[in-house]
Amino acid sequence: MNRKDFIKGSCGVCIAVSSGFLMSALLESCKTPLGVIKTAAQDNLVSIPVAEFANSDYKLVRLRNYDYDLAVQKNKDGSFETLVLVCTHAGHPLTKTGNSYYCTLHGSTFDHEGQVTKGPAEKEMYKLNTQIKNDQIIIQLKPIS
Amino acid sequence: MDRILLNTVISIFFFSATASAQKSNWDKQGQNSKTPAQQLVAGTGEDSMSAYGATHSRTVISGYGELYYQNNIDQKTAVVDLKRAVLFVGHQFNGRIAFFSELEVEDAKVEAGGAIGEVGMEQAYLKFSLNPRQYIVAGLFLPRIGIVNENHLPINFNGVERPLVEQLIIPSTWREIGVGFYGQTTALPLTYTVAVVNGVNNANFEHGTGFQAGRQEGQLAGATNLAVTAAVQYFAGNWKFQVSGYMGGTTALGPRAADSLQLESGIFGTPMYLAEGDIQYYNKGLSFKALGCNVSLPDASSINRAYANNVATQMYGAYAELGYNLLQTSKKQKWQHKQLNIFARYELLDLNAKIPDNGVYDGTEKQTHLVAGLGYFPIPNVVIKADVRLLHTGPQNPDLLVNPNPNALPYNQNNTFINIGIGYSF
Repeated sequence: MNRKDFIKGSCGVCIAVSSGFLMSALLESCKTPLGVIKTAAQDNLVSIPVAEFANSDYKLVRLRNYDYDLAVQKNKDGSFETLVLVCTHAGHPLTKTGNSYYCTLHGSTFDHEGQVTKGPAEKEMYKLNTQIKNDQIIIQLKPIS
Repeated sequence: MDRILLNTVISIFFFSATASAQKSNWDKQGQNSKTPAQQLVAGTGEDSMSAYGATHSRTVISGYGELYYQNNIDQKTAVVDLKRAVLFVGHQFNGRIAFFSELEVEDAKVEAGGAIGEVGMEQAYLKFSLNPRQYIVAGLFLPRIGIVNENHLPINFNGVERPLVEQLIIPSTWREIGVGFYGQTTALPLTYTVAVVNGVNNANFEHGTGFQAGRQEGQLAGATNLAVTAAVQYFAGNWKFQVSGYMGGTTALGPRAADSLQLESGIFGTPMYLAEGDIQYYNKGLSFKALGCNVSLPDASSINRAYANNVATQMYGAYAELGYNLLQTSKKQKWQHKQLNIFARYELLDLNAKIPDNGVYDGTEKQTHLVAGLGYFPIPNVVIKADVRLLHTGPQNPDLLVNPNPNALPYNQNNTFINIGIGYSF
């Protein structure tokens, strides 16, 4: 086997392996489209029925007259937490990726708990006080960290 | 040289230690809600976050920089250079309108008449948010083409040098004046952008640099020719996929001047097309990147006839990179939040993959680069890098040597570069 054949063969294997990963990742992501709830806040409080999470542990919440989307996540212990989708570096909106959050402006990334995994952001994502009352998830629109 | 390097490294560590101590003091004072740089800005007003979102104005100062040492083994030469120091200044007027800028100094200084060094605005634009997921930018900005052009911070790429394909085929940091629309869908993890910018100027194309010298970069840019660029990104699990494209005219002249040079003028006159696709993967310290790009100038012969700049009809480049963080699984406390990334990258490019009838083929523009190295992050925003780059090119074309030096050594198609560098962002 000469060098050209070797490179061609290696590239073929790489493409085949990558295609496999690619297809599995795409199929996996297609199973779980982002659930979006559109609502409004009253007296700085957002109320969402717990039943919205019957089939999902994650919902994107878009509020009227609020500058950023919220990510409401159900924890394993049944509690909920809310992250504000804004980069703590320069205030740019964050994009939900498969398992994390990504800032297209400078490339900062955060894990699903809001911790910085890549800079230039240095501070974790803003979290909002989230409690359950009478089968409603109550989110207080005020940063707690 | 060794002493200079030693002093530089000591200075860097001293600066890092001082900065670290300073950060610690800020934290103790309970002011850790902003980066240290943001806290340096006097009178910034309220934090952007309030119960109502980003309704208050504020100013953000931030930046990045990189310095490198490079030893050219074949030529037996070495250089050390403060490659770039960039200052970001941003201002949020209210929740809907913001300004963003990057001011760059390249190669440490600029002197009158000097051939090196540059001071330039890398970006300066206004951003108008339509809603939390869509916005418009207007001004001088970096179109979303490739990986590095938009995210060019030294902490975001492996290796002391930016990937060669993203310097020569997609010339980072490629900015133009225009208007761009950015958004992301709510139903899927998908982002999109489409922008209209001024085109490149084929009068400035230079042999051996692709279309890099034709960038107008916001300086009295000819706007008779325009370009449309668009990109789509899709996130699936730990994967990120992107495709982007560019189509624009390259004749930045009025019709009379263009006619006299027999160049097609107008918005898309003497067109240039660029298509790019890339894949990125990251999971538990393992990273993978691959990128491919093709650039086409179907009327290259007209450009050569007008300016004799020997440009090609087609050029392409591709690379693949694998990396791993050796500290990913370390249980020791002292290695927590630190990274030691090893990587290897293979790049191939050809700046004259196809040449017109009036072009002269240059084998040195067909290149492969094998880069392998390390990047150590003592903290996430500071990196110390070292790598080795093996370069192989095609043979030199003697027809391109106008005044050959009789004492010149034969052209060596292989060369090795040893690079050491540091980078930061904040």
